[in-house]
Amino acid sequence: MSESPAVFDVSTTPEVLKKQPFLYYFRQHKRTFVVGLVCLLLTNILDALPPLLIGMAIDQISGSEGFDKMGKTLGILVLVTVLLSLFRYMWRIFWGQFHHSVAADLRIRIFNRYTDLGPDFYSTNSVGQLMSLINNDVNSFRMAIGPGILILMDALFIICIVPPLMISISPSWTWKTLILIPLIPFVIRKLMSAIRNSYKNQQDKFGEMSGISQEIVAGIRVIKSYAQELNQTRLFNSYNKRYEDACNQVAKVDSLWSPIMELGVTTGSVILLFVGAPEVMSGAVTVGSFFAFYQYIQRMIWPMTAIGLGVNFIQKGRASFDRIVNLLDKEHNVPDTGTLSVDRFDSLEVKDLTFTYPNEDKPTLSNISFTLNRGETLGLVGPIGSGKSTIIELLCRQYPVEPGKIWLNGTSIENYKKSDLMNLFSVVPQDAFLFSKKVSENIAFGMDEWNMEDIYQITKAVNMNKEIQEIPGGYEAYLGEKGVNLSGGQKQRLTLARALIRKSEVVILDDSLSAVDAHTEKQILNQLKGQLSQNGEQKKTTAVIISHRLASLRWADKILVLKDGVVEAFDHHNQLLNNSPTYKNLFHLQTEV
Amino acid sequence: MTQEYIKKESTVRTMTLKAILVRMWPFLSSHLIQVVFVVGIVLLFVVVGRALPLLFGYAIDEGIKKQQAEVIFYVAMAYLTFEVTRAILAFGQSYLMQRLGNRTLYDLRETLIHHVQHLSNNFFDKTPVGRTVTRITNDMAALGELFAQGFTAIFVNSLEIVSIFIALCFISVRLTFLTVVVAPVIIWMSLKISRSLREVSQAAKKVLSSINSFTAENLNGMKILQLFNRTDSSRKHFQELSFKYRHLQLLTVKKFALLWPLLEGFSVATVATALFFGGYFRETLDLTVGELSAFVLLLQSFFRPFRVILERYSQMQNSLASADRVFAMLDEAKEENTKGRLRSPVQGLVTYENLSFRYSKDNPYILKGIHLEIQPGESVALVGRTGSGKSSMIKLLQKMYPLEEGKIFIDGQPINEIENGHLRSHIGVVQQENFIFKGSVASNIRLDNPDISDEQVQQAAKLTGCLDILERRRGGLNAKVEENGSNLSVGERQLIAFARVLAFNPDIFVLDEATANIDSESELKIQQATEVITKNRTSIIIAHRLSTIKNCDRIVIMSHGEIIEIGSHNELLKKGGYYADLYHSQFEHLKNNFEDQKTRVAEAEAPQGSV
Repeated sequence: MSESPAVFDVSTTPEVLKKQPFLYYFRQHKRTFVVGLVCLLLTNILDALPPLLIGMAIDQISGSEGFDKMGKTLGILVLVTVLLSLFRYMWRIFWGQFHHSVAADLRIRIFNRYTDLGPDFYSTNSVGQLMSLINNDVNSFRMAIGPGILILMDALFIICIVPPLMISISPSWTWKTLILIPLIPFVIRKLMSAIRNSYKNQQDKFGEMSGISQEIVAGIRVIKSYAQELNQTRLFNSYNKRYEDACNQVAKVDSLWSPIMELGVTTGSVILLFVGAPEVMSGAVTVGSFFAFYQYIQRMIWPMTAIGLGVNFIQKGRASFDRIVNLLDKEHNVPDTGTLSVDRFDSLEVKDLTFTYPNEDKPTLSNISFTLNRGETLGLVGPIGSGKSTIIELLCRQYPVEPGKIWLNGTSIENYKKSDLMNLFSVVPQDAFLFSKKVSENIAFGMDEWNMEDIYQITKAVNMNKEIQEIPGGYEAYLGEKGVNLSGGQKQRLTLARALIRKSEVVILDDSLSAVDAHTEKQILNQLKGQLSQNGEQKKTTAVIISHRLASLRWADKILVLKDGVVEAFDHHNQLLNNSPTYKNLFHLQTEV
Repeated sequence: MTQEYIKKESTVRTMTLKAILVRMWPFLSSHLIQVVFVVGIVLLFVVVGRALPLLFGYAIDEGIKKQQAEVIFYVAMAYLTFEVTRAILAFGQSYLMQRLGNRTLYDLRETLIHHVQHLSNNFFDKTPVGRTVTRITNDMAALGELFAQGFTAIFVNSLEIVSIFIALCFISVRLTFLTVVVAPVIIWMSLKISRSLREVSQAAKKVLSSINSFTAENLNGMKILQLFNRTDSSRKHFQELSFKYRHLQLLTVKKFALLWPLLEGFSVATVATALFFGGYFRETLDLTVGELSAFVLLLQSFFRPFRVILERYSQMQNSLASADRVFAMLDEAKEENTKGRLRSPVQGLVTYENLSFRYSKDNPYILKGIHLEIQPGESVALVGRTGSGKSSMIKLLQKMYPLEEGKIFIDGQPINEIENGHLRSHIGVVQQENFIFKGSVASNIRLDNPDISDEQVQQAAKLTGCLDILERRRGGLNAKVEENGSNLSVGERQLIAFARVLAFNPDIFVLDEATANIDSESELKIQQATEVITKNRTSIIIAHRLSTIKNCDRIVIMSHGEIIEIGSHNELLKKGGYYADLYHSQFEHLKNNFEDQKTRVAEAEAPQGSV
């Protein structure tokens, strides 16, 4: 409605929201909510009139009364309809505004919370689950607070308005025809749960079928190589069939819905024919009233259905909201309590560091100690699972470390502001993750301001400039699903550029050149080495490099050899060949072209 | 601003309903009897539905007005019977129609997966896996929705409209025309509204999907986001997207809110008209009260089907785009194929004759005039930098790309005359990164091929030496394998690929040796497996390690798509060219530590080597 929507303050989650979400949002949108409700009530009142008016008109036609009266009745009918349309239009607008605003508010709160959470959260929650929370759960809460509450109010209003009108025509008809109607909500709830179960089953089967499709398409080269297309189609069809069966099950339950509803009306109508006809024949009740009553019976079906549906919406919405609150209550596993600022790296000292991941028994790192001074390059080496990346994670405050284990510039690391540390370190993680943005935007991802000159320079340093120019669109080309697909090595070099362009005090490479061939890696590291020494005393860059290719670490000032989470040696390349069996072994294994 | 945005976002190429029906018809027509049966049930359902108000009118005229109690009784019984019949038919038509749709979709999915597997490699190179999977799953599901919610609803409700119109005319033709004369105007107006509603809701869906992809990407890259201090700007962007979405949702609500009252208002207006004319001209029209009541009841049900059609029609638009994508995929050209077969038994003589290759006309040549003959049973090492064309030699041998310049022969038969599947089944390839399917180790070795027995799987695993490593570490061949083999190490994955090759027992073996990240135990097993497989089999090995290279009968040095040196280890060393340089510069230290390597092998062969 409004072009510039109000900005929500979502930095904190109010207690009322957590405990009484409905109440909280009703208060937040008091005016919209109340006006919407009033419009709904007026709609319901007006909506109850047409059967009565039409009945009157029928009587006036068949009766002896003049046509003038009928003309007046019809006039009123038209007026009622105009007003009815107006109010119906209005409640829809107000109500829509209400629940869509609620959804936007919740969605933003959830997203912001996501950006606050750390690796332990992401290791226990799949992206699929988190997407489902911000999509399905928000939507199901919206359905509860919007349509859910709405149809319950609607049902309530109709129940308050229509039966009194029916009683005014004939009290005895009323109870006789409506006696079975209260059963409807129960039937609805039963049917709803059957529908839900069959949908759930359908979704599961769909998921399994997606899984096998994913496997077939991802493994297409193997399938082709071994000419297994027919076998795979057969395999796919077994899932295909199960999904079809599940769909048929859904169709069955789903098709029951409208016949059952209709039978509800029928029973009432048939009863009316039996009990009502004698009274009409005797003249106690007019044909018009009989007609009106017939229509009112039909009107009573919806509120009964609505109760079933509404309660269902609200239950689902509450369950979803519980999951949402559960998320909003989560905190980062390493609270950002530091107050000190830092923008220069002098020294790093790790003293007797032992670390165990949450939910694991054995420590990943045991009694690690080493030092790193400004301008030095540290190599980290060791077999898979020896704890190299863990050291980086702890340095970047991804997991909590006891105070006094990691010292930066002589101060225990948790005393620094996280954002300052993140500016001090530039990390190139193992998996080369890039965003669906332009090549240039990906490189400048960590910069507030940048110009193309910096980008050209840095892509040259990572040996990428020529390749980027060959991509259609060059630096302006989009990456990802809808854009260019880069090779693993190209992605890695871009992530390297993304880190280097920040010119941080410390550069950390976590095995980030594994997909680049040995020759290119050597070239890049040579460039990097050149850059590290060129920067001069003022901007002396420190580097931490994890690599599997020992040849590329030869020039490092110090190399830390890890094995099973323990420091096996901490020395220069030449000495390590003598005093570290792990290093020596790795080195010999890697005599590749 | 919004208007422009909507316009920009809604210009998606879509198929028309008719075009989709034409494409779907072959699939539907194979179930022709069911189609006819379902249509019959729908017709019956509609007819019974119209009889009910007429019966009500009859009850008023013949029963109530004429004071005939037994008529009332019979009418009530008939009413009950009709309603029950109608309920059964309602269930029947909906269920059967959906069943038919589900069967049709099953057939379509089968056709699609079959088709996809025969698409060219060029297609898979340029199309991300996710996109193809979406066609088979989500887009097909959308097509299903189109069928279940769209076509069937439109079909049934159109019949409803026609039947109501006929029933109205049955009571009074003149009154019918007097009352529904304005209907076309209303239908035109609501069509207009529903069209703009469709545009807005499509724009809203677009924004929602960009919210989703933005969120998914940020969740996947959360670590980067935090490490680079970028959470604030993401939050801001997300908030903007959310507000944009809300804004479009509200527009949708607005348009939708207009549609309902319009149709309802019109419905009441027609009723009022009917009563007015019916009242004033009752005598001339010759109408009873019962007939008039039935007329009004019918009129009241006249507009519901319109609304359903309009609603469904606008919902269908997104599915139309999906249908379009599905059929576009079916229109993708399959890879070229022929019928020829290799003469049995296959000897394994591989000949590359003047072979040049580039991936497309715009790309540079990857291979330039390659001549190479590999004798049956010979092992050849291909050595060269990334991009020198080694892998392309293999892909072309497997006919993964069409040959344009030059030829490849197997046993003297040109491969482009051989059927793809047949050819490929004679060539076994172990890659650096081997695709591992979700399932078990055994299912990965036999690739779900029922022709390969458990014994053969066992035997293959044993011969390659991977059986004991897998038994010890993973608990045997039935050990569960996660998606992409993520619970296995690179070395284990390669060992499984070796066993896979051996189980299929090809005549020509190709190995792209892995370069890094392999634990030393697997490394040794891989060396053993290579020896087993290459024995007496034509083998092409893209080799990185000196030991592998040295063991091959011949070494082919490649550079920039050309063969620059060829010969045995000793020949090439003597020649003193590129290979000799490489050998001396890279492997000097190895010479010094040759004794060392021997010890390492001995250690690793002992049950618990110290690494």
